[in-house]
Amino acid sequence: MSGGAGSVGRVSGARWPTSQVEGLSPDAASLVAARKLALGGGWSECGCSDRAVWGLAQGSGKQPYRAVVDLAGPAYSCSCPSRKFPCKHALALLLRWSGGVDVPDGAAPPEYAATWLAGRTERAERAEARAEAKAETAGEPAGGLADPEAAARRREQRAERVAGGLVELERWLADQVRGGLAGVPAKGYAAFEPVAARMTDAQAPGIASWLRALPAVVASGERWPERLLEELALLHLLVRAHARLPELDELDPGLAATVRQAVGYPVAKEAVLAEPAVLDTWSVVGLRDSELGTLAQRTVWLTGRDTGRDAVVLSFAAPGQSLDATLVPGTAIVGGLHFYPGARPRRALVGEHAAPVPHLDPPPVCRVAAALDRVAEALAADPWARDVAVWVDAVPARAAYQGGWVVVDELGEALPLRAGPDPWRLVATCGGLRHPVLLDWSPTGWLPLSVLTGDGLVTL
Amino acid sequence: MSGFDAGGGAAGGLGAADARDVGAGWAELVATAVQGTARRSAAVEVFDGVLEHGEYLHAMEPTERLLGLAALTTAGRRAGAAALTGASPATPALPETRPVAPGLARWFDGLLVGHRELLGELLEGMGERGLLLPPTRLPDLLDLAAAEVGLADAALAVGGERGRWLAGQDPRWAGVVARLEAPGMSGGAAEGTVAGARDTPGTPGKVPREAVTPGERDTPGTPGKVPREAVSPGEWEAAREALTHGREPADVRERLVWTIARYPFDGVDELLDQSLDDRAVGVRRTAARALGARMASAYQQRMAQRATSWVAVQRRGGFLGRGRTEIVVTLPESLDEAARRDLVDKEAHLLGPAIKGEKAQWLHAVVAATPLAAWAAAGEPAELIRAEVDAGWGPVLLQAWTARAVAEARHRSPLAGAWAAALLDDGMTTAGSERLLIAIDPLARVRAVIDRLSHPGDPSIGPRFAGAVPHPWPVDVLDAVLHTIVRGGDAHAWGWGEVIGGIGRREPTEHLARLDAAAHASMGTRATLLQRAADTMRLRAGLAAALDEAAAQAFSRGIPNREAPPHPPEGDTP
Repeated sequence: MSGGAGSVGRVSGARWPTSQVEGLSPDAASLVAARKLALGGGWSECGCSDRAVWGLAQGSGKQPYRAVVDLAGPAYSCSCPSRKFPCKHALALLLRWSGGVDVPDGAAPPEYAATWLAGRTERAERAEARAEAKAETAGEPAGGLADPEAAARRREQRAERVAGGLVELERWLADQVRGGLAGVPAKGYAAFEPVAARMTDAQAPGIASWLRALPAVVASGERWPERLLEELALLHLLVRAHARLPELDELDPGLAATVRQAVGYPVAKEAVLAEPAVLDTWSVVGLRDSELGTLAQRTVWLTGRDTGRDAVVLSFAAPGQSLDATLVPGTAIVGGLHFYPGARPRRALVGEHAAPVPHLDPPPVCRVAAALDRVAEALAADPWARDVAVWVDAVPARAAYQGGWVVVDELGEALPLRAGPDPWRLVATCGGLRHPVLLDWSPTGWLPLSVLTGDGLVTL
Repeated sequence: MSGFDAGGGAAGGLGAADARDVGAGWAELVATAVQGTARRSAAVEVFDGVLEHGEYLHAMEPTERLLGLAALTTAGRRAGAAALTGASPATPALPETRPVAPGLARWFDGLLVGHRELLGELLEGMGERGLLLPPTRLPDLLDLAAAEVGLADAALAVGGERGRWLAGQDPRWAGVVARLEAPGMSGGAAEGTVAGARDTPGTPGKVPREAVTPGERDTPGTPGKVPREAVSPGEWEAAREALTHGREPADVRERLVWTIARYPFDGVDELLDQSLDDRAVGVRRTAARALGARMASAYQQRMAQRATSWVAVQRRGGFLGRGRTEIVVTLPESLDEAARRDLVDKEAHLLGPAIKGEKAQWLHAVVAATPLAAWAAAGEPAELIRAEVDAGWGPVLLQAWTARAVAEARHRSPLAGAWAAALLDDGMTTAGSERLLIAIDPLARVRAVIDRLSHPGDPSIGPRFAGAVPHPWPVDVLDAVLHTIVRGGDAHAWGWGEVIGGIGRREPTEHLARLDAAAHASMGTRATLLQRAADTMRLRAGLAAALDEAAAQAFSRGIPNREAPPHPPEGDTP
């Protein structure tokens, strides 16, 4: 058993805090089991280096299980038959290492560990290539590139395919509004699946995912025709924008990048990392996990103390892998972020940085009116924007309309929260008093991500 | 937008738009889109003068025109959303008076998912140390309190003022609010009793709904478990009212009978006796059972009379009245009316294999309701128990005396101890005799249990007796039980399952080494069960350490300031 996630920058030196190790657990039951193991006896020949931790765990069999963890990843290897990543032995080993229990520094790794670590580089590259290939079909830009000529040819071919696909998309859009949206619900998924598949073939995976999200809009309630028209209209806008990319590349490269990203052109990780890093003290202020097809996706929000910029870091994990846990809400990293190009640069990759420290700068809170202004600014720069993160000083309250919730600021103005399960954790954390709340705007409402309380940052 | 012209005049967009015109225009676009441009043409003149380059759109195809206008207005509409008004937040919660333990939040999460049986230990441990759970866990905590009555009080003690406040925010937690306001719940750790499902004081004046339906193990009228303050005279009045006038449905009356049997008020005996006349058989049965376990009511007198007339103790031969004791049982052919009233028939399956037939049930019911003092004139307990009984009634008498001794032991009657010792003497066992253990002194208890651990005839006796000893066990008992389990083969291993589980869950964690050793020394199913128990005990040890650490940290940090969350300098930062 071995597995690992894409790495997000290297960290040297300090042992991870327990909360970070606990965050690696694939589920709550595993964490409980790992704690039991970590507290118990049966451990021998444990050690660690800058890069890895290893040890022997006595299980129920005769031979002890050999566990190794590669900290750059992280990735795990254990001789037990478990199919979980990390298994309880690896997790327990990390708990002991983190707690400073009997896992001494400096020794050379034993043979089983050294062999695995050496072979891991090769396997990690293969695994990463596979994850990238999968991510590309899901709309996530892939990395890696060969010689510039072949790359240029590939780009031209792609541009042609996309252009062809978009002509068909335009025709499809016209058909929808000519025939009338009233007929859409009856068709179910068949309304969107064929054109989405066509977009995937045309190498426009961003548009394909967008189309595949439209059945949810149709099912969203009474006002679905309005919402669907909005989405179709923005697709139309994107088609038009793409047709004028050559102009945009000269006049407004940021917007051109946004258009390409929305269509789904890949952006090489190396290219992003080659851009100059924005150096600052970046506070990790929010974390949310979601599903993207078969992949698990982790979104981490950061705010820069001096630059005042917002950033979002995405990471992915294939089934069975655990998500990257180096960015922990409530900590700050001093270092550089490399932003993806766009009209409104938000998505970033983490570059060189020091180890995270528990620290949080006071966030830039504002009132509801200013938050709405921030949304307007974002949409002015990028009309296809689907998320804007804002800190608002507010308290949750029930809305005047049935079943809804809002957050209310000092002046009594309110923002509607996205429909869904009641936001009890937010309500409980605020306790009826206003707090700085990190909210994420979307076309269907605001989603609370984190709250800053007297005891620190609370992720919702 | 920065200079972008999407061939449709997106630059400038809505310009100096009149919101109403845009709104009307948008409604027009939606209506047209729903029907389709083939059937309806959009009256887009309303957009004239509102959009820069808007006139350009008139030249295009209807579908393009619609999509183009929609595109221009969508971003503007999304960006132009106005703030809502009219919402009023709830009154803020009161500040906490006890510290929060953030480190225990993850324990709570983990146990909630993986080891619910240990949640009680976590919550009670936190309550004892005066710690609270962080607010993010409160919704889960309240859901837990609503779902599991046995954990409710411990859970609420750990929620603090914020938990109390949150419970009032939604009707789904209304039951929790009612519980918080019930008498005896002061917000701190519940004194003495962590009320389990069987001992729930109800809301004053209302019919208690939480009382569990009588099962084989419950005896109505176990005294001393419900704190007196928890039962108000108002509740007693309400119960009396309900039972006398019989307006509540039968199952409610049955539960009431069950509950009042525990009340320390005068008049309970009379009310129970009255309930023997209830029109529902379930109520009558419960009343008879409750009355059978009382110490000195009129029912006891009637039953004692029957006992002395049905059961004759005689002595034969020997000097000075010693010699053989014989018991002759004479049962009537049929019961008279008074007897039928008192002896409501009991479900046969509850009585065990020794009681076969209707007459045996009568005899058992009468003797089990007869005070032990009534036999004093007939002889010493040891004599009576060893007497020869005719026609095979012996086992019935033994079982009935056992039941009576158990009932009297719960009232702490001194006679019960003597009878219990006699009934357990010499390895004798009958149905329910493990319950006599609490009536004999601790040393004798240890002996009684250890002697029965590996009974050659009946392998269920060992687990039964071990299971009846309250935790924490004397070390001798633990060692003997583990020894028996380790030595035994794989057969009957599951019979010990519950006992082993109980050891893991409730024995002090100092015994971990013993349990580990036992697990290593056994094989097969027993090894699995013991290992599981050892792991649970290990987890509990870790939990105890985490609790102590959390307490130390919390008190060094002090009580959190809940008055003012951090408000950074005001101002709208771009």
